[in-house]
Amino acid sequence: MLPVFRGLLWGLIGFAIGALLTALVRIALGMEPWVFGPLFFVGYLFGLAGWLLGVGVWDTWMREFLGMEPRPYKEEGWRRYFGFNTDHKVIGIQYGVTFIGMFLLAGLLAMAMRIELMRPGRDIFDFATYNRVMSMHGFLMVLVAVTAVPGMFGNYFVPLMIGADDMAFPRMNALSYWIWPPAAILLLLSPFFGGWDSGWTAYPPLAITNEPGQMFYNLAFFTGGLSSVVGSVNFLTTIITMRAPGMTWGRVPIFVWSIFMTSIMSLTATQFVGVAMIMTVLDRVAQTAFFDPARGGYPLIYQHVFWFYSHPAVYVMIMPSWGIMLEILAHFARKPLFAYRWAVAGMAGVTALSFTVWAHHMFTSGMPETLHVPFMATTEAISVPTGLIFLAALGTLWRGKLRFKTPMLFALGMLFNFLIGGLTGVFNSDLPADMHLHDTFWVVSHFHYTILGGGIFGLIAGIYYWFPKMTGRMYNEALGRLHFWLMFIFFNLTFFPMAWLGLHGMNRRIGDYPPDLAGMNMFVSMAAFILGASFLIFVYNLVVSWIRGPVAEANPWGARTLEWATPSPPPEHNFPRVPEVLSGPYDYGVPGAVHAKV
Amino acid sequence: MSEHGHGHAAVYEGGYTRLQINRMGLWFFIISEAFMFLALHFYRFLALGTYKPEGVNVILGLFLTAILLASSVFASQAEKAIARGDQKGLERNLLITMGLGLFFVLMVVYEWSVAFAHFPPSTPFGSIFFLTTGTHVLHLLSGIVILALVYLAARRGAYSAESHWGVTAGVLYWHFVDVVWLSVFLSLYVL
Repeated sequence: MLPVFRGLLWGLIGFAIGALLTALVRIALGMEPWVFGPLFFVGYLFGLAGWLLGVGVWDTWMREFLGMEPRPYKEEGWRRYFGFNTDHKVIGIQYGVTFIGMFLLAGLLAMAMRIELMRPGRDIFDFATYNRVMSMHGFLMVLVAVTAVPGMFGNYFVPLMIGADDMAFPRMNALSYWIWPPAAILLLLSPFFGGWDSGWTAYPPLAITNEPGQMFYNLAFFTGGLSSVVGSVNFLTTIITMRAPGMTWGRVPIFVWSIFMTSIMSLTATQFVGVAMIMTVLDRVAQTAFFDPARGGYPLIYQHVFWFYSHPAVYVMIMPSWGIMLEILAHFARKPLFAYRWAVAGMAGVTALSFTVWAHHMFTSGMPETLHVPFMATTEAISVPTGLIFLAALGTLWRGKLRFKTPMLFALGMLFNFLIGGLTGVFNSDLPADMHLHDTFWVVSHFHYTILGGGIFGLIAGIYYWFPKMTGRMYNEALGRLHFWLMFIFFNLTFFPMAWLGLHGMNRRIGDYPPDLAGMNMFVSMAAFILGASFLIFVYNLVVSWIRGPVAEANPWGARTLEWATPSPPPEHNFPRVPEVLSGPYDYGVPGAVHAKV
Repeated sequence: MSEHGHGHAAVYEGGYTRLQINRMGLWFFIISEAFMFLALHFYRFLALGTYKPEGVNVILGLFLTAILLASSVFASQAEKAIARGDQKGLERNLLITMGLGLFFVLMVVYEWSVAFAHFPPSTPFGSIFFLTTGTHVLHLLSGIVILALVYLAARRGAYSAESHWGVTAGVLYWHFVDVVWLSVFLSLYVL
């Protein structure tokens, strides 16, 4: 039996045991036993444990603990993707396919929202349904933005780029992926339990009083957080201890640095969102009083706990894409990465400051006014280290011999979009401006410029850049460029007018707007549909090229980092022997420079 | 707990041994877990300041602290025993550690029954009190399960003076659960 099916079976058994135990305890305490909330909550936690045991934890760890021979999952062909496979390259592909699928699904929801917003008033949804669709779109996209790059490229390329044969803890790496399916199942089931209408941020008291579908969001977020923590333990340990000899900290590729900094944030801050989620669920199912004002709780504190994670999380979304962007700029400009050390310092600075800015999401929430100015100051300060990364990018391009292949186009597009995202962000961080901009489409424009225009452009740049390495086949360059130009132009035509809409009084998270904004909304919707359609080209290109694209060479880009020094796709242990690193990875044009002997 | 991987880690930059790599991974995990408790304390102080209702039993809290500190001493003895090859000492100290842990859990359950009357979970302080102590008890129970697995492995003779990462890891985790209790004690009982 494929481990996936055994996991499902054990998960269902776990769910039944958990729910029954809860019912028994409730009978013993003299309470009404068959109440959905508590039974589902405890059932899910048991079900999660059952799923993980069934899908591979039993075969690997538990058998070893109990003195039996572990049964590692060894399969070939397509079957290797459906079990507890510990090869970091298989895990990278598992993450990639899962999260690109999630991205496309969430994109369809965005299309549905733009159909509703084409005209003022009610069209295809009632306003409650609009909010549920918006919430699902937002949350799925947040999961994609947080997970896709570290999960897919972090797992696949961090060991390759530092010359290791795998991650430091291969089994934990498999675990970090297999924690995800229960979260995906929860989100797919949520609409059958009323969905949730509180957005991806799910503030109480709404998140305590709305439909049971809300809990599916809470538990999915909690589950995803678990995976993040497991993954970041692995990245940090791998990067510290498994660099090839000679790969000193000053020679580590910039993408690896970005994953390192990202992991510091996910390792620590993620626990806060886990706690916030569990508190909300307890308020719903156990009548606790954390955030429920009806019982004397403090709804505002939820926002503090939530944003203490979720602001570092937006840097988790963008930082690995900065890494990809800088990699690609250096390789395609044929120049050493400009101010490498300052770029690393910039990443470290953003990481440190990211923990100090969370309350800038709460300027209009009624929090104590003494907090306003300090958080405005820290937020504006974070543009300084961000600027270092930007200057490193510009300096690398300066007088370079640019080669405009698809990955390079996406990296340049990201640089442009993120500039607009950063500039619009200055107004949000500025207290007097934010009082008016808060919760308008200006903010929607701003974060789509940073996260879609920055993070996801970086993801797609990475997909084109590493596609030949991961699949052993070349994508179609003409289709890739067509995808870029369509996506870049219509991304800007979709989201730039949204800033204007926000300034003219269009609120976010409402399926309606003043009638005089109808013309611009129609324009935005049309642009959004073409933006959505550009992904058909993307998916077609990936699928067809993966099946029968031309066979890729080991190093089609002439890049110098270590992943290109091994065949495409890399063999099971990556390198015939541990490579010996002799100098930095970006010495383009330096006579006689060799990055590593493989 | 042990992660065999591909075994030739010592060839990498910095020359880390497999044992050092395992230890580092566990430490990162512990840092992450510490942030979970930090989040709970964050709520406690942000929402409630240092407010403390009637009925918080500091004496009982001190007693609980003493039990856990004692258990840490025995856990540490267990590791020292196997480091000098003393199988019997390892098993005996593990049993005492787990016994003290179970005793601690029972005392917390007793305390909950009293606390329920003073500040039930339907009040903000009761909510954070029961969630924080409950989270800690869950960590302690998982520590007991881990030590029980270590104990079973020790009975099979899986550990020796030279190779006992399983014991080290279990004991390190146990120490973490004890130390984090001190923060719980300070946050909920003392301040």
